[in-house]
Amino acid sequence: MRHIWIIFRRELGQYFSSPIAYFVAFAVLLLTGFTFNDDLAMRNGRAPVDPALPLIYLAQFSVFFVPLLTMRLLAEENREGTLELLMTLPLQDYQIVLGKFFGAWAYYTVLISLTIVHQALMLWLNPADLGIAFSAYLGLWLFGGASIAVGMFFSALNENQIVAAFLGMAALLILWQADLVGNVLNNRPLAEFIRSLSFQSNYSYSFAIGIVRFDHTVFFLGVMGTLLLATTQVVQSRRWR
Amino acid sequence: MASEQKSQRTIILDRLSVARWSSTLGAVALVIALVALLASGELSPVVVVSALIGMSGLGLWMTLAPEDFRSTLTGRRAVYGSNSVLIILLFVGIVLIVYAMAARSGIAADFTSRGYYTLKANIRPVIEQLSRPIQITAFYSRRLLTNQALESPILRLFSDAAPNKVRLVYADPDVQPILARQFGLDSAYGIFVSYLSADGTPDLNFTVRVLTARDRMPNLPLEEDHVNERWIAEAILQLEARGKYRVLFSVGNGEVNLDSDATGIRDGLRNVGIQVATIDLSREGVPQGTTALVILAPVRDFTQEMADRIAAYLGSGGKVLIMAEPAYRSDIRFMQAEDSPLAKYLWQAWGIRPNRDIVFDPLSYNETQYYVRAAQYLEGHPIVQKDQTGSAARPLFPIAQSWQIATEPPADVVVRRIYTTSPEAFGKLDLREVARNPDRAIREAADLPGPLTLVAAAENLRTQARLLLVGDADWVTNDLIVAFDGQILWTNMIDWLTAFLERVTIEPAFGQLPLSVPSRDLELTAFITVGVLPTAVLLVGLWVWWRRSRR
Amino acid sequence: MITVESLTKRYGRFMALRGISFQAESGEILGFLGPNGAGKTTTMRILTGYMPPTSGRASVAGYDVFTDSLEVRKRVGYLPETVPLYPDMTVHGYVKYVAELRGVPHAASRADDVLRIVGMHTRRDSLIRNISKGMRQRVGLAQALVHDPQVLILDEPTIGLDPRQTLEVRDLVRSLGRTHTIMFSTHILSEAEQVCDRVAIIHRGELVAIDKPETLRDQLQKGARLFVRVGKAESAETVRKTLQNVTGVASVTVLNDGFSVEARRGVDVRPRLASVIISAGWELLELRPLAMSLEDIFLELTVREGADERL
Repeated sequence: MRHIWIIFRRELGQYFSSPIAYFVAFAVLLLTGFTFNDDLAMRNGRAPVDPALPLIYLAQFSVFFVPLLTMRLLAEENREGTLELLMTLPLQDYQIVLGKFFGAWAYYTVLISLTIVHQALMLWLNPADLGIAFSAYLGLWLFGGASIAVGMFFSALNENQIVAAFLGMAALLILWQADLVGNVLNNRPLAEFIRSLSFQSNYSYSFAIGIVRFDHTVFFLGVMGTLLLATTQVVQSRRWR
Repeated sequence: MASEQKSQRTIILDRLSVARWSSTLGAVALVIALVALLASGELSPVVVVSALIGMSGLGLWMTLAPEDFRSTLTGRRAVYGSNSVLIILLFVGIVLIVYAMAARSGIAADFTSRGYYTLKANIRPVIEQLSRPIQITAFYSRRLLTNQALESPILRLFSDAAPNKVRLVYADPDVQPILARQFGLDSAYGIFVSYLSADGTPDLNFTVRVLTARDRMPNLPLEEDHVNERWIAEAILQLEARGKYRVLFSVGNGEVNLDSDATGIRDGLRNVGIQVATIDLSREGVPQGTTALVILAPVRDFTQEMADRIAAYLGSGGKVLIMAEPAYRSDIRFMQAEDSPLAKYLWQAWGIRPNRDIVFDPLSYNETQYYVRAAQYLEGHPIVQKDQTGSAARPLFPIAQSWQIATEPPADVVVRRIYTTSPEAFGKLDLREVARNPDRAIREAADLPGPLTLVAAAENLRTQARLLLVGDADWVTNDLIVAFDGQILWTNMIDWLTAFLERVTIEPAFGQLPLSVPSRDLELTAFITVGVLPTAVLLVGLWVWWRRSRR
Repeated sequence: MITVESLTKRYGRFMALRGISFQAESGEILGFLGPNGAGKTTTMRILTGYMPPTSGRASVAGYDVFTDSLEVRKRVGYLPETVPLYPDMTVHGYVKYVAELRGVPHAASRADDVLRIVGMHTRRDSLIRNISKGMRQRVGLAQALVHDPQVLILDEPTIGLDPRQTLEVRDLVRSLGRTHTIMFSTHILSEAEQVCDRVAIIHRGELVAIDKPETLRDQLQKGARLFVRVGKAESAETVRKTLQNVTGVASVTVLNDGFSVEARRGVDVRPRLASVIISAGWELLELRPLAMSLEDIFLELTVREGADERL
């Protein structure tokens, strides 16, 4: 636990001391801001505001920016040789993986909590259901954790950060769009199964509409657990490969 | 060693490399076979061929290089690698089991402040006290998987409230076309509520289709069609009402003919499961078990005996709907005489009587000046409610008379004016004058001043009796009911009388007001979210970079 | 302290280690000498638990590196060939981070102590990205020392350092060697000679020799070339012929200012050369071994073993 905490602290500090992380946050906020204001203008005089809306956008953008945050986690250590240090320290491999994961997740948490500004503005414009906002945040947080676990897995598989980011984006895009599998796949039970694995169906149609379902919570936690386990196995495989 | 080096340089295929290549090829082919099997769900030629290639590839490996095969299976990498894979698979298995249990349990926390995903307190007893087990059959085609996901939490409210009484079944109209046809479904989406028969299949004779958003807004795209908790509950109540509700129509006195002129309302009642029958009040009284009595504009007036029978029925808590036409034809005598027994009873017992006029409303001329469109309505009353947004039905009454309501109603009676004319309207009492100048109606001193009551609803709080009076009956005929919210008004009236849907009153789901702010506010929002916030993050980043670069 | 038994490592078709065995005693400084690609780094990575051997066994402080990896890692300080540094951390922050992960009590002050030992204390608050290569090497060394390990494994710790820094590091290793077991790789012969108690020479994945540096050198230089300068001689050719006839001399080459004498293997011809020259009435101005480059030694050793060229 202490080891996880030490690695977590360094990883989080790393995010806040590297200009790239600020630039990613800047780009994400800018994109979210554009779509958010566009949507507000469209709704004005027609429909009430939806507190989950900036968060759904953020979830969509996560597909592209989370791999940028996770690509360096293990690929960089591998390339720079620092993984050799970590792996020859008296640490369990899962402690390395978990410490890094929680560091990235904490950064993500800070990033999404910046959108509280958007929520406050919405509250000022057109008071909406705060319960939905709360469950949408909870869902987005779990969603981000699962996305980070996916991105981190590819970072462990690959020494090249760009390739890791690209593979992570591709995987997350598929997991996001798997929602539409019913339009292309003829085998309905399989389509429903694949669909239930899609990040979108477990977020946009549950957390984002104000209902926190036990199975969808289990889904995100399960994805996190599975991929963290797989990542640990990949890291550990160096010891016996 | 030497041979190995040689093969590496000249790429001569030796036994080992052939064996390894065939093992790789075989593994890839087996994966393709598995994927193809899952995707198509059958043993297609692709599946068979790639499975054969895969097995022969692995077989070749085994025969050409048995040593390599054995050491690959028993080496440290094989042991640890398969260990890793097994641990991951085991974990995935546990996650899947927990997920399935979680999905089955249906545990969910509803965070909406309106409790959109919680069964309403007034619907729960309806579900828990169902007379027979029901099945909710929900049809979604493949393309509507998202809709299914969005709606399943609402559908589950019902099956979770009483798992042994409500069964939830999803079906695909494309996969099960016969089933869809049995339910009479001809689109990609539809939800039905049925009683379960003894053999556990849905009883198609006791099936009600849940009205969806497209039934109310036909222009809605299929992808946006949806149901809500209230509409499903209404369908369940309709099912429960099958055979329990009995509405009698009075006949034998020149009423609107239910079997030729007003088949629409008759069939509409039957479609939602209400029994429809006729009664000749001159021969018999209203029998027990009658939910409501409807009197559709008779021509001949009712005798004292008939009036007494209506009075007896109302006295026992009955519900009566009376529509009365003005005497624009000389043969229309229903309640037109001063000493009409029914009119006298109504005045004494309920404080309402016909004005025996013809209503003109200059503000609501529509085609002819005899057509009166209700100008004012009693806001919030269930009879006027058009849809969930709370807007009101605005019916049109072609040639109507108005009702006089006593300033001091009898004890226990509450009378409400449901629809009234505008204040500019007037009621012509001199019907001969109207007949002489049918194209010209001018307000005169002798006329009744507006606003005039077109529809009145009375309720006896002691006996629970309900009486509904409408100054026109033409609007329920087949030609006119489809226009000017006639169907909605008719349904609402029957619902109010029979208390058919009164058990289901749900706050409208779309209660939040639309965003409506000056563009100045939006500009400020944009300035903060697109300008200030990202810039602040960027500045902090630059500051950190600047500070660190100096160390 | 360190025991290695017929260790092999195969990367695909390339054999990096072909079964090497050796031991290092407690408190010994073992030099690991060999050219690039000889298998030094691979051996060290196996000993620190970073990668597994293909076959064979290795143990550190009595713990098997494969089955008891964690126990081994607790007792080993390791400086890999590419110094594992985080450029965005400060020098002190980095050493403290490793100390904390190592579970060293009072990590911050201990980090300061080791930085003082390696002479990096003045730059403790600099970002690692802003310090020179030699400094980075020393920070890496500080990291390896921070938990005062029983065994120190240093992969080319002096590479890229300027001469003064090199000397400092050598002194440091020597002083640490009194209390620690140190295994230390280099491709510079003189460095191994100066620092190590024993030297293991590996070449192409095989252990060619392991012994005390003096023994090794003597052994090698018995069969080595000598430089001879003679005064008062008639002609170079006469001297060449005379020297050629000395027992044990294989060949003599005339150089600009003297002669290069190649002795037969295992024979020390120096006393006989001296007496022949003196007795011929010439002046012996200089008699010294011609400096052997590392390549010469490997050539020597591999030829002696009669091994053919592999791969």
